[in-house]
Amino acid sequence: MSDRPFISHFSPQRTDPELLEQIHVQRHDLLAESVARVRESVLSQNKHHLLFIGPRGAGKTHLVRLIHHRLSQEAKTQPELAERLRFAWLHEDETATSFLKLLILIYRDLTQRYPQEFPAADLQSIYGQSADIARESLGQALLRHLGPDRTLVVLMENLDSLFKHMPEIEQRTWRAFVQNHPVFTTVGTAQSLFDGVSDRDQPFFGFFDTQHLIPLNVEDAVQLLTKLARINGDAELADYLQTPTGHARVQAIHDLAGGNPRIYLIFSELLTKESLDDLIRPFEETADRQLTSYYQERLRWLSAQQQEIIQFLCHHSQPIPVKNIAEGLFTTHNSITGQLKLLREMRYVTANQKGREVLYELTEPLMRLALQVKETHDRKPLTLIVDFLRVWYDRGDLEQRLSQHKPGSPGHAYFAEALARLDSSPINLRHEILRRGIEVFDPEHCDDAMLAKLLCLATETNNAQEWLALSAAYIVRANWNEVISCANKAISHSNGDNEIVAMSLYNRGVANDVLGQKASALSDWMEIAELSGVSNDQIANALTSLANLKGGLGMLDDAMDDCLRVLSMQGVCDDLFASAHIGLGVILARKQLPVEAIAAYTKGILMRKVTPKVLAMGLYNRAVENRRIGNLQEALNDCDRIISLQGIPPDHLALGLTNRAAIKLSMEDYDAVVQDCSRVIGTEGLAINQTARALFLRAMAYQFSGRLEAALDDYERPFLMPTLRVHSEVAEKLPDFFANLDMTATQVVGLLLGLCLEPSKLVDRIGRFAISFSKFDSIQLLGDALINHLPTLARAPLNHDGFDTWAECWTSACAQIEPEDQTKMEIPLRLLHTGIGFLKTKDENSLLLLPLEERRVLRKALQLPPERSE
Amino acid sequence: MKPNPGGQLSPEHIIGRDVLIADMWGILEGRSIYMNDLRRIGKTQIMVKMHAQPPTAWVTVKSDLGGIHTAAEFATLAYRQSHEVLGQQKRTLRRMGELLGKARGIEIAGLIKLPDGSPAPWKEVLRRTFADIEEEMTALGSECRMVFFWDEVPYLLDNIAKREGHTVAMEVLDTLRSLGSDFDRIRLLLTGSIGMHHILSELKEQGYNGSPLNRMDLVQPGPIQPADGISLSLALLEGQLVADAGAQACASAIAEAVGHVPFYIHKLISRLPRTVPATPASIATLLDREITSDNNDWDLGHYRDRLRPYYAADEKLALLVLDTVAVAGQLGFQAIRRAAAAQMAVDDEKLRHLLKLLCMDHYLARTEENEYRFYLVLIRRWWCLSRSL
Repeated sequence: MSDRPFISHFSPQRTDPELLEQIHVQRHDLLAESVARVRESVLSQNKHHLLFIGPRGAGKTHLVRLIHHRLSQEAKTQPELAERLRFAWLHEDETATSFLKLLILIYRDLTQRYPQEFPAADLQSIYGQSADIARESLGQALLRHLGPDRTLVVLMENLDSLFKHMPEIEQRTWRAFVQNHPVFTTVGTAQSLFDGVSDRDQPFFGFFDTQHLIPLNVEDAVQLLTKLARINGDAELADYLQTPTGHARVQAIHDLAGGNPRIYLIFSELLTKESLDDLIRPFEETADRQLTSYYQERLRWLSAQQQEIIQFLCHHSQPIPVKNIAEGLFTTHNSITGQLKLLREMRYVTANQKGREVLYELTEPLMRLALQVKETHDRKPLTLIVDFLRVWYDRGDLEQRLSQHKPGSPGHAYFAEALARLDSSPINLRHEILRRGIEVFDPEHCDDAMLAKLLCLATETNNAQEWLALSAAYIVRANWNEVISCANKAISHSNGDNEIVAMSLYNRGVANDVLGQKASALSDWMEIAELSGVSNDQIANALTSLANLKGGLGMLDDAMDDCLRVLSMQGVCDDLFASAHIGLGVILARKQLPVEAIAAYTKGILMRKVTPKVLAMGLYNRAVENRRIGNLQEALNDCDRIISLQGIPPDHLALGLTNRAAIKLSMEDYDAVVQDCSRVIGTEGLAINQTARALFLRAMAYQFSGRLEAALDDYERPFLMPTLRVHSEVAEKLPDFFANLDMTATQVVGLLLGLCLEPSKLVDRIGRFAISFSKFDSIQLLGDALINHLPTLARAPLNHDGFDTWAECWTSACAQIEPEDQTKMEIPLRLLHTGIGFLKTKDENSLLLLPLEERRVLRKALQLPPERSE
Repeated sequence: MKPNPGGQLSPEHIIGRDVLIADMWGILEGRSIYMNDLRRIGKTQIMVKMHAQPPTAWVTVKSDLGGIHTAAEFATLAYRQSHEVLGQQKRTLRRMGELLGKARGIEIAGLIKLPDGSPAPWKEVLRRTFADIEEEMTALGSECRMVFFWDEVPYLLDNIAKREGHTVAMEVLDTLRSLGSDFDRIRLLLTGSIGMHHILSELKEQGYNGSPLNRMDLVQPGPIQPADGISLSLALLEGQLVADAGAQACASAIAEAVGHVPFYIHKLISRLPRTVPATPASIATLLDREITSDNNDWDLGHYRDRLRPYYAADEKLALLVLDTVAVAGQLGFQAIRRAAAAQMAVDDEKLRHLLKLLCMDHYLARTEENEYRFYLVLIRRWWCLSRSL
């Protein structure tokens, strides 16, 4: 492993820039844009002054080095850039208390980079002169040697420190020099914003284009670690990092240490070096040298109480509420709040809102490491590094790695400490970290990162609660097989906790129901009802679901029994009672008992503590029933009420809107239909069935109000929904649409006839619909509609040529569909041509070209009496 | 075109100032100008463009005086730059030649020394330089004039006061005033990052009683025109590739949100996220976050913080007036008086005076309808956010 590429933890300027390119993450756009701006500065009169802000280890020097590297590379192939670009680089330890001293630093660097162009003698000649004369002389020398057509790109690290040491009057001189001689561009870095650039009264206020470097997120960290692993030849680690468990472990490291890139460079070394012995001591010493003095200096700027707060936070690896800080420091909440506000403004601490509480943590995790280096005596292992090892490795890994190190060696001490801490605490640090943020788990708001955490936790701990949470998360994602798998694991690890078994069975039942495994769903939910030690709410929930399922299967009496059982239970929450009433109403409606159904819905609606979602379902069902029996005003009232409810999901709101639109359609209020349906169609994230229903209703409203093109478009849109590919999906996702498909076909043929399109457009339109119906195995419906519209054709204002054109257009259009479906259209097309022959001649003998069965169909379509022989 | 907040722009990228610049050249025909406005409004950029593109018959010299620390350095700079500019036209400065003598004094590191090695008297250098310029301009043609674009004049005076004492700073001011009026072929265009009144107040405390700017035309550039603000935003968005098809809407949103101040347009566009296309809504959210975050470099809190030192006992009334105007957007005197009187006893004259001061300090501006509004839309936006109005 000795030929591993060298990547410096603390000094990116010592790392090969090509390696820095390889491990560059997250800031690609910022880098490209910065390079472009500096390039523009060199090649034009625009001069940019960039300032990158970020704490130590945030990647500032890395970025500056890459800007330098990329421009230097470009200059090799671009003569103009090479001629006009010069660099001076002031490193982080260089500071100046006057503009003259700054000039000296710049000029000195130029003499080293370009000795032929910037003679060192000019520098020597100023010593011994007055400061004013020296400044003037050196300034003129620099300008003379640089020349009017070149631009000096000054790379300045720790600009905040430079400004701190340079008096304002010197800053004015510096700024005036830059303004009077626009041949400079600046790329600076600073650890935080400072008054010199952000105070309106300071000379350099607003002079720099400041960009805050954003910490790495988990994805960035995974990407960085993966790149480092590949560079180090550790393909196994690189692959592992791409797995959900790998992600989750990086997430844990991220939660522990934040998004500072330097942390991940250090961490990567811990992962990829087989032995820590060679790594740990140099690392401790460098950390001490590079970090401790800096952070101690930063602490010295603070008041005693502020220092105490920082030290308190250093000893906690997780965000802390004000209350705990106040208790830990034996002082009042108010005094800590005031100090925290100041510390936030000075960017020492960061506040995170969590519910009503604000949690505080160190802005720079490296500060914790630095203080640990100082506080850790007798070369004991550093807590942060030990925590890294505990978070990343399992016990087996730790034991194996411990055995690879000699007793007494630094690496041995670290792994032994990690194991000792593992033994001394019943809590696994990684699991503790991963559980942060998911204590109050809401499956509706479970993002990919949270899912990965849950998966990692559940896999590693086999904790039934976590498998259960995972199954709930998969329900939201409609990943039904995973729901069943996770629920099974939750049940098998439930250790007799029937509450968990019941919830798992419930989730499994939901998945089975959706997957069409109705018997399994019935079995799951029935099992809940038989479990002991389960709350009445859980039983009621299962019974209500059972009732819905049984109702759908036609087992109406059984379903009714389930609902009645719920309604006879004690201590069930109002929401479930309401659901049972509503479920009962649905069954009664299926039994064609509308009045009783409406009464049941009303009981549900009138329950006191009902969630808006359940209330909306009650109102919706009552509206449907009222509409069915002609109580349109009552139905409308219920729809209006749904639409005015706060906090209902979009799909429930859509139900209210489409139902109201359906009622308004029957009342011929087409504008209202269009308005409600458009609202549904414009709602993102709805089930496509709901959107398709709204499109169908709006199409009819357009059609009946004479907006035929718009109607045709709306009839077509459900076919074009990108998520629908195969027929089985139609049946599953678009039951309403599928049920209405024959009506759609009829309306479409009528519209095509009514629109009187030019033949080419007509062929195109027919062809599109033919392909669509063909795609959904429903071409026959279009054929039926075509024949059924023959009487309409007879009434249409068409001459004989028009009849022929209509028939020819259909023949041409149907040639575009699949051969199998072309065959299905042969009979309808034959009937169409023959029917048109009859319409032109009114001679029933013309029908004799067809076999008897087809003649029967055509005669019926043409509303002719049966043949005499029949 | 790339966003470049605070950096130096090439003249063709200084957008929306052409009408003002034409007006200013017109003013310079008759008198010198003192350009006064908030920091970062674009005063220096106006000078840069005027210097780069002068009308025929104008000779220009431009300099940032923030690095000058003595009156002698200042005089030497004026001489040296005039000498350089006129040298390009094969003209010389006769009187200065006489002062320096046949053996020529030497200019060392920004200071002119006489042949005997003593420093040349700075007033004499300035007066002779100006007289020479006057003569040379006359010789060049009846229409020829020279203008000195001097930036950071308040810093110059402050530097001199610190290094050489307040008396010398006062003398420099008086000399400038006198030179500005004595020579018809020479004009001055002065400006600075900080208001001249700060320096004058300090000098007045030391006994100064002159009015150095009273013969100059005061110009307040203000924001650029809305159409120019939108054009600038659009050009920058196109250069930045951060807005998609809605670039025009985004450009309008940006320019309007920051009140058509070019610096803020550059700044806001530079801060737009690079990975997601901008929208008017995301722009508004970003700006609000930028100007209200704990740690930002917009420093709009300055406008709240300076009320106490500026207005002392009237701070509360000033706050009340600003809160009222911020909420209403635009209000006449009577409406402001009613709102103030509802909360505290208000003397009409005192309120009028306060409103005048608030306008002078660029908090408010008077509209054509003789009402008051915030001078900059951005300050109003920040004011409402920071005070939860």
